[in-house]
Amino acid sequence: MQWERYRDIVFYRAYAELKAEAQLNYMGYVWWLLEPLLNTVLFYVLLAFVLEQQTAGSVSFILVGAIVWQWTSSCILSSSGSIYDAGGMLKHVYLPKVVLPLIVLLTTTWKFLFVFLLLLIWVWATGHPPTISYVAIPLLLILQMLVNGGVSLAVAAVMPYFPDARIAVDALLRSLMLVSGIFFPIEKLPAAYHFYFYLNPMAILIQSYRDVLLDSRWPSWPLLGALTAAAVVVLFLVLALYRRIDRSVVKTINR
Amino acid sequence: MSKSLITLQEAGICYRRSHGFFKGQRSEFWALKSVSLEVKQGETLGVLGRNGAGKSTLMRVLAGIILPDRGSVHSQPGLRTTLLSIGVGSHSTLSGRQNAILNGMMLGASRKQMIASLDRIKEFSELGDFFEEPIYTYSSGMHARLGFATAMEVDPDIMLIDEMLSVGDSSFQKKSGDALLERLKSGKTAVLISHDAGTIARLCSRAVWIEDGVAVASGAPDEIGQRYEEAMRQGHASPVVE
Repeated sequence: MQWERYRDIVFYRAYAELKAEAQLNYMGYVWWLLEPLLNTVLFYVLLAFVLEQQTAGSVSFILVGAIVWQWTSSCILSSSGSIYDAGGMLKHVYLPKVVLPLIVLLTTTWKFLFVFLLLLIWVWATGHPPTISYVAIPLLLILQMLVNGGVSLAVAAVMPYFPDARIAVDALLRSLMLVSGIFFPIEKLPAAYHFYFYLNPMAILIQSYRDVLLDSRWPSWPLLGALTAAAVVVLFLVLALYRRIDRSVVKTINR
Repeated sequence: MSKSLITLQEAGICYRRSHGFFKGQRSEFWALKSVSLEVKQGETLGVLGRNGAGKSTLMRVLAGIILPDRGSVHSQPGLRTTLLSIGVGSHSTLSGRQNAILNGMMLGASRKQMIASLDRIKEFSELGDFFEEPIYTYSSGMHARLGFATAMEVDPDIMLIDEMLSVGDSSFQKKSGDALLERLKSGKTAVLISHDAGTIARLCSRAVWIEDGVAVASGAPDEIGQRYEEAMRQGHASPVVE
């Protein structure tokens, strides 16, 4: 009964946010498309022309990386303040705190799916028709959602206690972006480094999407299996954290 | 003796603050030190106390927003306790109708319940055609009317009222005040917070006096009110620090 109500709140708020975005700034969706496009162009020009790097990926190669990356980074960045910023409201009503980041995850994911669909069309149009390995795409999306959820919920829960975390997370994401293999194939690096690069979930995910979309092959199941296990463990820990702070976090928010 | 819906036993709430970069120094502030009270079915319990006595913190405990750091709180399973508030979680681009549903859900009603009460909300709020317009076009009086009409439809098991709500222009103030009074008289369980002994004596069936985070007395509203006013008069001989 109560959970039904919380579910309705999540969907209703998400709908309201999307509607507001479409109404107030009609560039909303365009920006979502523009950001990965700009990143792609930037990396491509930088690598192919300025540095004349032979290892630089094709435009499609970078585009897959940039779009996949953007989903995760937007989820984390936009939900980071969701609990903290709702402090005023939370002083008046009880809501399970997990509801707040979930609303943001939902709206961000909705916009991502729109961009992802365009990516699929682009990839097909540029000579990579769908193959049997496309079966893995829903699995990849679900796994990435678990990763996004785990990290985003964790950050949103920590923010009220350490408001500085917003800046730290921003900086961390910027650095992580450079080593996630968005504009270079990790496979081309010396084998000794692979292990360290693949400690980064985003490197595994981006590589897997490319396997499926551009190389018509199955992603690396052992890597994905390990990542799934890690994501599930993190998610459980995070939910335990939410149980702990659910009826006390409001006291730390001074707004 | 009617059954008690919520029981607080020596409940205390502590706000902890950290100072400095490494969070080494910590200070504690007990907004509630020890409060024991019962909210019984059908009563209007008045909580009387001056500003800063811990009344709002007590409300948050009763609403289930925070749990006590010491002592205990027990409430009937499935009990819906709602702090009556205006326009919580509303969204400026949604219409009045949509915000009524959203606010109502925030305050504890189901979506179905809110959809079923939309006609009454529209009528009570006197919004007319504005009900379908986005609420960023509303005046503050219209916001208040919509919020109040919505809150009235939520119908929780226990209504928590922080100070007497009076919203809108004078005619709506009377209308909303009357609606609230009607609820209180019809046997709805409610907790009313005020720093004014008169309000408590007029509206409540029982009163609790909170001073400096402690429930110092409880009993008949007029008697508690008199003792409170007496203490306030003496207190004002020396300046009250808030």
